[in-house]
Amino acid sequence: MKIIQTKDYKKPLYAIGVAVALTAIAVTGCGEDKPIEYAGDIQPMTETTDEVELEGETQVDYAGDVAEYTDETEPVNTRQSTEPVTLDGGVEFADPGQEN
Amino acid sequence: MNLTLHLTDNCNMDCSYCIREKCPKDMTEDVLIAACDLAFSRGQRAGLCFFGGEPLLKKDLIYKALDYCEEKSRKTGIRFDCKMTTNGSLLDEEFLKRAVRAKMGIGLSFDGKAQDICRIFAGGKPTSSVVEEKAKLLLSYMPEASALATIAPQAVPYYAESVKYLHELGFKHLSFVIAYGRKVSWTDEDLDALRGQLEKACGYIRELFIKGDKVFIGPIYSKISECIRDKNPAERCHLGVRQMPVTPKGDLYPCTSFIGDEDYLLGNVFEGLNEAKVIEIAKRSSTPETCTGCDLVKRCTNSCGCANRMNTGDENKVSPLQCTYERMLIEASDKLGEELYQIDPEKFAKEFG
Repeated sequence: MKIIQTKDYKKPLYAIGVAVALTAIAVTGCGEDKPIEYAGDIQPMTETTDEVELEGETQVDYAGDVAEYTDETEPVNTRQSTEPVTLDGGVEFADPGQEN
Repeated sequence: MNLTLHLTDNCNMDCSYCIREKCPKDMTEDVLIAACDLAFSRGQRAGLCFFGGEPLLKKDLIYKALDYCEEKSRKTGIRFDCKMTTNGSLLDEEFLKRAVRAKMGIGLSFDGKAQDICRIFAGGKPTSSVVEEKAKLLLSYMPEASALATIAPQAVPYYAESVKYLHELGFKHLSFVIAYGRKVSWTDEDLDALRGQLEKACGYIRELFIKGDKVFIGPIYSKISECIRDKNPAERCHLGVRQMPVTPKGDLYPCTSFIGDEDYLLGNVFEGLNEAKVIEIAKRSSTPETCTGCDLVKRCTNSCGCANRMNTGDENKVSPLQCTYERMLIEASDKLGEELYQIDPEKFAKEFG
């Protein structure tokens, strides 16, 4: 076993096809009504969920040795080390030394 | 905010891959209530995951937490959610009735056909027959309960069979992770065997898809859906800001593998969070250097600080094991995704999109 960087990876056809279909549905407004959602956050477990949480808020996950046991999809935020950190619960802490 | 409550460090099982040191240390009611208050103190929802050791050794604390939090939720309007990860051996109808009332999600740690290989009672007795009965009891009250399986090297030959077994038992939500840490030792041969088992498991999923049988099997399903949605599992763990463990004495840490390391102590339920420390640790979290040039960097869990630390001692360094496994998983998941998409694109989009 080794750490090997993958090169020349192409997004699979299924992902492109479904993403296009989802976009088309969004644009045309077709499709089923979705249940009301919370706007939300991380933990990319991709079981479809009727809840989306506020940025910084997450659906509570099953605890385990490695944080992998989840069954909800939550939107993911990209964090760079210089950006303010949003604590779980939606409260944002900016490092006083950083610009906002 | 969300917290994982380690109600006790004690357990009635002795699982071979468990990295937690067992001891008869229980959370007190004072710590429990302070933790509940902390969960309600930030944001618009409060979440608790009951954990341990084995949380059902402290049913009294769980009942207290549920009563307290439900009342607090009514008074404040803040939504309360709860889950529990349990070995299941102590489940009973009284508890399940209360859990259903609380809308608790229960994850049963159950390794399927490999249960007796790694998960035994303290004292050495096998657990599979007990846990199978408890699983049936659980599903009778909570058809949406999850089965959480950990695959250690010696359990690999049973992986695909376990997927089928757990599904046929009635679980619609399955999650399989491989065992990490100092108690397991993976070889290249184990990983080759795992690749074969993943392919078999994917074959079973394909059969279910064709039959129209809806089931969620992580992490295979996760990889497919994340790819479609451009979600990045590498961003799932932002140490210290997601779901903090609370130890029996009330200390807060970024994640379970950091418990006991004073350098990562984030505060205490009585004194509160050390916000400067949270920021410091969160800002240290970064994509491992070995991963920055990889085309799959946004598809693998390279930034899971907990897994990294368990495998390499450094939250920002991946291990060859994790890299090899993630590449294998992505390859198997993508192959399955393509097959299912070709079989029925509309059904595929509905299930995974």
